[in-house]
Amino acid sequence: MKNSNEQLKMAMDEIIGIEPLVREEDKTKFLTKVHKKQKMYLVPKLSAALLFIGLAGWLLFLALNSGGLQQASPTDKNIKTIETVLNQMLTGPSKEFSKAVDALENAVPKTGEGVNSGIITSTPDPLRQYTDKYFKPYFTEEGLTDYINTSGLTFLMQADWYGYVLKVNDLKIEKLEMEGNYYDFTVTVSYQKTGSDQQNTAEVTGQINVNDEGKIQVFSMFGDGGLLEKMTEGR
Amino acid sequence: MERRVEDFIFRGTDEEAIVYIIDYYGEGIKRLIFTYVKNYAQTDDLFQDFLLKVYQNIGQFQGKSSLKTWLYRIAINTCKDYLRSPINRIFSPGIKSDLIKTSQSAETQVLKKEYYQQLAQCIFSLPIKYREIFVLRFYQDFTIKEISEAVGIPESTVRTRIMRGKKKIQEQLGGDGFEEFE
Repeated sequence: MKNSNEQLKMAMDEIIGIEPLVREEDKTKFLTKVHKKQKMYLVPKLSAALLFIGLAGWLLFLALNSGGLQQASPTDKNIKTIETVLNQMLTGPSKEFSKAVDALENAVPKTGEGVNSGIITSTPDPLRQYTDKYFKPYFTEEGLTDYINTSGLTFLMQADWYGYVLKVNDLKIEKLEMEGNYYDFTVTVSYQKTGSDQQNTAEVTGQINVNDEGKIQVFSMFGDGGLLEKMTEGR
Repeated sequence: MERRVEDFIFRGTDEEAIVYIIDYYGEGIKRLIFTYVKNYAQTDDLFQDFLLKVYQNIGQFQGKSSLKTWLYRIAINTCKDYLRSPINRIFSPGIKSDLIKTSQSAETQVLKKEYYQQLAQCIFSLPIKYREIFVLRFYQDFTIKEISEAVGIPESTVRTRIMRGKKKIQEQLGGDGFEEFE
């Protein structure tokens, strides 16, 4: 058995590489990164706070004087679209979603044949069906790709992985008075670990641009109030 | 004998602790990371992410688990977080073809060597939940208990996954391959 193990290890080394993967460069790269971070902390905190207060005040002044933010009409179809997407993005995970994630984890990658034997050519993606069902109707094709590649299912996946339940408590959407359909959103999300009585909330903020056909073409996140970090803390 | 992180917290700087970790555990951990992402550039990046997480959390290590399993757990979680990001699911590459060619240019080699190469390829193509267990057990020589601590699952689940993973490999290779491994 010992001999078998050694031979298997050698075969795995051939795949990963016989040469050492750790190089001196790994240390230098890391130490440079750490030193840079330490220098950043040397900026006086008071100056940073004053700068922040000044900037916030200036932005508030601009908003109040130019009427930059305008409450959107409740009949606005775009708002309904945005509400639906945000609710689906930040509520759950449902059984259907968890099932899709399980299927993804158990998916066996398809490997090629002949000269490509052993090379993974594609991986089945059960989450694609979920995305098509719940998000595709509300996005342009490009908008959906960007959305999936950035924010998309991240919150539900993390919640599923770390055993949290997400629920939308409050949703504020404001239409910006500018050319094009731009909306700022703030979602108050409650998150609770399964089996725990403790419930916390986080504010997820961002901006959405809807095209003239009522489809979301740009979905940008400003912040998640530490939601993702909090969910991963308890692992 | 394995040293503990506390030695460095009290006797040296956190940076010295990281350098020690790179020297003693870096190679094994970097190889493990590769088995998740199968790409050298991403392995380098994830190794840096791993080091940063260790550096940021080094004060929280309480010695409840061994330093080795604590480090591997951070590395495994770093890889899983990365793979769970939707963008990385889209760009999940296969093993580099030149490496495959190296292992396939075995016409002149003995059949036994080919068998282990096929076995290794099979392990690399297993779903992650089985692959990580096989890599830790048969490549990194972890005990069942250590795997359980590093992956964060019960020991019984580790055993079940080894059993099911073996079955999957046997389905791919035919016969009763992998039975000689415990």
